Amino acid sequence: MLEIIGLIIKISIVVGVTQGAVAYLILVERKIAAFSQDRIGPNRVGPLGLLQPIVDGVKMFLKEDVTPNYVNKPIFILAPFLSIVTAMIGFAVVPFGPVGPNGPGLFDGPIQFQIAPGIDIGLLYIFAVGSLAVYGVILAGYSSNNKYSFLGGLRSSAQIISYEIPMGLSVLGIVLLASSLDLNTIIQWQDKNAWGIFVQPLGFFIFLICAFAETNRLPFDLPESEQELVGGFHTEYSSMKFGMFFLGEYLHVITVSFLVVILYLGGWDPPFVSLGDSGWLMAILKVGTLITKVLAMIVFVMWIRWTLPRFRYDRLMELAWKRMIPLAIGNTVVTALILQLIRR
Amino acid sequence: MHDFPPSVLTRCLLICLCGGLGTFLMMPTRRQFAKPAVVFALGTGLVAFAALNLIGLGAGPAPIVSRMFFYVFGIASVLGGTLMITARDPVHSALWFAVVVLATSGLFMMAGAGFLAAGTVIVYAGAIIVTFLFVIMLAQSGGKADYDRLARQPAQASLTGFILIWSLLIVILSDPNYHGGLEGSVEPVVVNSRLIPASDLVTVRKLMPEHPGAIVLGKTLTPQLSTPDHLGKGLPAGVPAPQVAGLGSALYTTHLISSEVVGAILFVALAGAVVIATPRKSNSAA
Repeated sequence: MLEIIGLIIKISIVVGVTQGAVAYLILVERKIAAFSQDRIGPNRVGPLGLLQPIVDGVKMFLKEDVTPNYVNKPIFILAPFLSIVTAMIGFAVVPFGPVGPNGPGLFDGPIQFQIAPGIDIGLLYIFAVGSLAVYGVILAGYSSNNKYSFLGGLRSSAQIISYEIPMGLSVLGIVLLASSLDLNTIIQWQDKNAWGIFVQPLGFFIFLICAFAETNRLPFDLPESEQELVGGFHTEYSSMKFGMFFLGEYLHVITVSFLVVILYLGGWDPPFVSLGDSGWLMAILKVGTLITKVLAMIVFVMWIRWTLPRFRYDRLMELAWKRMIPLAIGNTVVTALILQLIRR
Repeated sequence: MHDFPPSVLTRCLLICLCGGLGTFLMMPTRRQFAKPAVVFALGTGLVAFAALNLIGLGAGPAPIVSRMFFYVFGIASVLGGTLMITARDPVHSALWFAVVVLATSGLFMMAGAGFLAAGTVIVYAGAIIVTFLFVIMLAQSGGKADYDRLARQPAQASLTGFILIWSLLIVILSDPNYHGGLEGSVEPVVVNSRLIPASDLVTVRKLMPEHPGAIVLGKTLTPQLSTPDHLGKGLPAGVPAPQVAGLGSALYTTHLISSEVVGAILFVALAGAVVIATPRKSNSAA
C-alpha cells in the first residue's frame, strides 16, 4: 500500500512541477525573444514580470471558448486532451535523479527518482508514446473542418512520422554502447565511461535535429507556419483548448530536453567531478545537475528559435529522408562494427 | 485436455451466441442507416451481457492494483473492438482501433512482454492507424460515402468472427497452463511467450482443480515479477533483466534464418514501394 501511495505522490510531483514549469517556460521564452529582438519583454506584472505566467493562465481560462458549429465535435474536444496526455505519459520512465539500490532511504527502502524504475524497455516506451503524439495534431486538423487546419495537420503528421525514423535510428548507437534500453543503465554507462556526445557525436546531432522536429518548434514549425496556414492545426481552437495545445508543445520541449541530456549529456553525471553513490547529499547533487542541464537545454531550444529561419516543406522532407536516415543508418553500422572489433 | 465441467462449455456458447447476435444487431446495415433505437439498445445489451460473462470466466492477477489494471485494459479492448466494428464514421472506427491496440499493449505489458507492447504501439498505433486516418481523411473530401458507412455482410461476418472466438476460448481454457477460468483455486503462473530457453523452465508442483488433493508435477517458467509488483522499488538484485536481450538472442540464434528471410522480404517490399511511388518522368514528358 505504501508503495502505491509513494507512486501517487511521485506522479503528483512530476505532473505539478512540469505543469508549473511550463508556465514559467513561456515567460522565459518571451524574455529570450525580447532579448534577441533588443526589447525588454514582459515586465509589468510583478517584479521582472515574474507574475506574468499566472496572469496569462487566468486569461486563458477566462476567455470565451468558441466551438464553431461545423466541427466534428467529439474529436474536436478529444484532440487537445490527447495532445497533453501523450506529452505527459512519457515522463513515467524518465529518471529525475539516481535510481538504484543505494539511493537515500525513506520508510522501507531507497527512494527512486523515477516513476516506474526497472522498466527494461524505457527508451522503447518513450518512442512508443512519442509516436502517439501525432494523434492530437492530426485529429485537431481533421475535426476542425477547415482547410488551413487540415493542411497544417497533414503537414505536421507527415513531419512527425518522417522524423521519428532517423530519431529512432540515431539512438541505436548509444544503445549499442550501453547495451541497454533502460535510461538509468545508459546514464550509468556514461558515468563510468564517457558522455554520449563524445562517443556518438553524429548520433547526438541527428537526435537533436529530430528532437526539434518532433516538438514542432522553429525551424521546424511548418504545421503552424503563421504566414501560410493562419495558425495551422489549432486555428479553430480558443481559450483553454488552445492553451492545452500550447501546454502540450512545451511539455514536449521538456521531455525532449530530458532525453537529450539523459542520452547524450551524461544525465546526472556532472563534468570533471565524480559523485558518490549513496546518501541524501549525493542524490540532491545529482538531481540538481540533471535539472540544471535540462534547463540549459531548454534555453538552447528557445535560443535556436531566433537563430534559424523556417524550412521550406520539400527541403524538410528531403532532409529527413535523404540526409538523416542514411547518416543514422551509417552511424549504427559503424558503431556496431567498431564495437565488434574492440570486443575481439 | 481438461475435462470441462458442462457449465463452462454452456457459458462459452452463451457468450458467443449473445456476443454474435448483439454485434450483428449493432452493425449498420445496407437497408437502413439509422437502426431503430430499440434494436440498437438490444444489441448493446446482448454484447454487454456477453462481455460481462467473458470477464467472469477468467480470474485476473492476484494483487489488487494489477487486477484493476487488468480489468480496465480487458474491458477497454473488448469495448473498443465492438465499437470499432459498429461505428458508422470510419474515422471513429480507426480511433477505436487505436484504443484496442493500446489496451492490448497494456495487457502485454502486464504479462511481462514489454517489448511486444512497445512494438505494437509503435507499429500499429503510431504508424498503421495514422496511415489509415490519412487515407480516410483524404478520401472523404467529398462528404461521407455510403459504402463507408454500412457493413457489407454483417451476418456472415458476425458468425465467422464468433465461431473463431468460441474456438479460441475453448483452446485457451483447455491449455494446461491456464488456471484462471476453472475454479481459480490455483496460483496463476506467468507464462508469456514461447521464445524462452529451456534452462528457464522449472518444475513445480501444482494443484489440479478437477482432482482435489492431487498434486501434479508440471513444467513452468521461472516465476517472473509482474510489472506492478516492482513498480515502486526497481528490480531486486539478481533478477535478470528479461525480454529484450532474451528476445534478441532467440531471434538471432534459434530463429536466424526466419528473421533474415523476413528482413529480405521487407526490404524487397520497401524497394517495390519506392518503385511504385516514384512518378514516371518519361510518361509525363511525352
